[in-house]
Amino acid sequence: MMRNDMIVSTGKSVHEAIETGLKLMQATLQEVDIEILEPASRGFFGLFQRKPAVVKVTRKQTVNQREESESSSQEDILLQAIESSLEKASAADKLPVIQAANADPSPLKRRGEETDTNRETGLVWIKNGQIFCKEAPTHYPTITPKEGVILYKNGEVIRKTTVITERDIVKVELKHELKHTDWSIEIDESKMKAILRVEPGFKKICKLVDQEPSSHIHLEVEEIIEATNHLQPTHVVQKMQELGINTGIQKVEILKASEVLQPAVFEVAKGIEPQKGKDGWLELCVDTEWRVSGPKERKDGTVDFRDIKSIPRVEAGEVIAIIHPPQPGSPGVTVTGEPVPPEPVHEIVVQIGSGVDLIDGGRKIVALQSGRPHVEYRGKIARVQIMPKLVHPGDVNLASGNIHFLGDVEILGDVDQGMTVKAMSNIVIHGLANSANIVAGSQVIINKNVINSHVTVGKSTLSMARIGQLLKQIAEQLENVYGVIEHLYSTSAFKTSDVSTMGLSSVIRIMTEKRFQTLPVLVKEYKKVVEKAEQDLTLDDGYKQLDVDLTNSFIKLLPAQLKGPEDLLVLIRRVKEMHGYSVTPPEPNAVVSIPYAQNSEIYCSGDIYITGQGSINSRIHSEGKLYVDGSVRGGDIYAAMGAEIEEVGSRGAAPTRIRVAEGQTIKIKSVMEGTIIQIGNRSYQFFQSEQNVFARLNREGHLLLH
Amino acid sequence: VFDYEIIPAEEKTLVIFRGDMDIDTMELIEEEILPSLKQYAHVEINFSEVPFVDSTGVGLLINLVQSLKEEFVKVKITNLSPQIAEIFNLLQIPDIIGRDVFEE
Repeated sequence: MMRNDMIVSTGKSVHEAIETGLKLMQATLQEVDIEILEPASRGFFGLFQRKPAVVKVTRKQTVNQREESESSSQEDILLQAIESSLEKASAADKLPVIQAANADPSPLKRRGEETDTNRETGLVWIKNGQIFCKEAPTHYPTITPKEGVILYKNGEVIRKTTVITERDIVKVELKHELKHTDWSIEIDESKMKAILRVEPGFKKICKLVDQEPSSHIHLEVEEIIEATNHLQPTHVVQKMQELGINTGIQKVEILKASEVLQPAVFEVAKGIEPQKGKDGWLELCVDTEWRVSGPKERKDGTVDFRDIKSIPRVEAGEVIAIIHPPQPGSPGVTVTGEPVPPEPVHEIVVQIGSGVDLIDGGRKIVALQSGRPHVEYRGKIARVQIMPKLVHPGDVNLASGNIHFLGDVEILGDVDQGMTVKAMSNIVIHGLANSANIVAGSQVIINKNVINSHVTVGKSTLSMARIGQLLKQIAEQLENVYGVIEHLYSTSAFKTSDVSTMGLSSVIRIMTEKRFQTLPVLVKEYKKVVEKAEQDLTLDDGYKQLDVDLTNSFIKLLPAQLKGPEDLLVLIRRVKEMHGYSVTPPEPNAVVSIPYAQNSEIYCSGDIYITGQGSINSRIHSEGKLYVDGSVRGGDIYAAMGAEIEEVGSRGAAPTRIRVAEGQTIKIKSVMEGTIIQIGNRSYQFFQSEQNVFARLNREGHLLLH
Repeated sequence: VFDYEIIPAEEKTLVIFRGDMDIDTMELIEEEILPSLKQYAHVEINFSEVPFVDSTGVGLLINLVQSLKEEFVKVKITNLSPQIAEIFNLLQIPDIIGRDVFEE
């Protein structure tokens, strides 16, 4: 079909006439000049007798004008098809144009270079994201869209491969994605910090991939993702204001958060932690511990190898200790400006025992009599006293009777066969112990031999472990009992009319019948263990008092014992307190010092010193360390914290065994064959005598001997 | 004030408790009610008019039921209010005096 360079067209309006002309010429407004020959005019009654508008449309002479060609019939058919589709897509110009392809001058120039026009193929290509095409007289290029790209040809969406011509209006719509920056501010539970979480957004830009000219192209899309952070520091500050955050704002963190390009967390406000104060405490002005020092030089230049006799002593009127009040801490501030009180500090409660008094407005503890100062702590309670002391001038025998004393005991003579000496605190025996039973709360010194005797010092770890276990179970049960009583009190049909006369005894009677039937069993067991422990050693009064109160409450069901739920709470607190006391290390300062033990049993919850000849066929158990200056022949020795022994073993006798806890060491100057040593559960028997043994476990758990 | 009524019948003697079962009922229960109920073979204690209990009252009830059972008297407790049933369950009363006492 020939194309006209000039056309005269008509229409109901000038506008319509131009449109018709453009359509006929297959041209756009930019490609033509227009001359209005006749504007439209209305007839008398408007609808009738009206005259059409007439315009002349003339094609501008431009370089990219399509050249006339001797159109083949095939081309005609194609063009007609395109024309008809163009007519359908009359609204095409109004579509949003993302990419538009217009014929570029270059294909024409290139076309001019072609020689064989008949064989020419149409070409399509993409350059700088734009689609260009050049048709050939006998061939049109084709294009195939791709998912993610919407291809419009003359306003219609193309889903399959299509032919394009230079007159087609081809548009491509590419998907862009924009994700905004997510962020949030959270104040933690304690209100001590505000956390800003930022998840930066991104921009996803799709771009058509450039393609070389070809008769057919598949559209290709390239995605470019770019992280973006839209967070403005002012937004953060505003949000923090909304949340009431006004303290400890971290400006640097806010700035960092507004720049970050990966998800991140920033502490944008930090509260001020309260400063812990100091509990009240007792400053001791005198030595209260029995010191056992290693070899030390005396003032006169001689060497005292084992000085254990430095027993602390104060004179009447001497200040024993100064009581320091607690120092309160300073409060902190939350991020929202609320004050945070510091942990409460506690005063030290001083119990004044015998022989001491408070002076200076209760700030100092002074001795009223001379003697050994003794301080015992239980939680925040310190009991201070001058330990009373019994001095027995001669031997302990059938004539004198056994000695039991709540304090220190000093025996100037021996302790004879079958006799017992028991002291709450320390025992010093100047003579020997023969088939005797010696029991002390903290320390024992015997200056001469110990034969066929039992010496027990400090808390028995075994019965203490049992006591601790029972108190723990009792405390748990009591808390459950309290829980049920609270529940009962909250029920609507329950009256407490009997509490004034019966206390809690009625409800406890019912509860111990079934629901808490193990409670009385535990209390009875506790009584048994306490009574047994009391026989072996001097037990703290607290355990005995607790036994009495538990028995009154849950076995005897005395109405006056627990007058209400408050009393039960107090009892629970006491049980827990004594439980805590029972699991603290037993009397770590306990000491036994003897020169020689034969066929005896020595138990000490602290260190044991054997300062003379040594031990023969004795069982020795120390929860601390064992030092033997002489030799150990036969028997079974255990020292939890390690052992240092001069000489071990004897020929032809039963093997001697030395055991220490895992991680500890055994030092022996001279060991004979047959001796067994054991560290933790690793043991070794010497098959020949050796010198300077330093037994220990290496990291792999192997026993090293030197 | 606590009050009670005994309605003897051939099959089952009905006992109606009226009022709070608390420490003040001790004398009445131990000295009057328990001795007079021992003669019957089958006793039903109706609790519908007992609004409140205290623990001593619950203890007295336990004692009453256990004493009667020792004398081979069959005992049932009926018409417990849900509030009192809650108290009984908290104290595991059914386990102490027997679940059969509460079964219809």
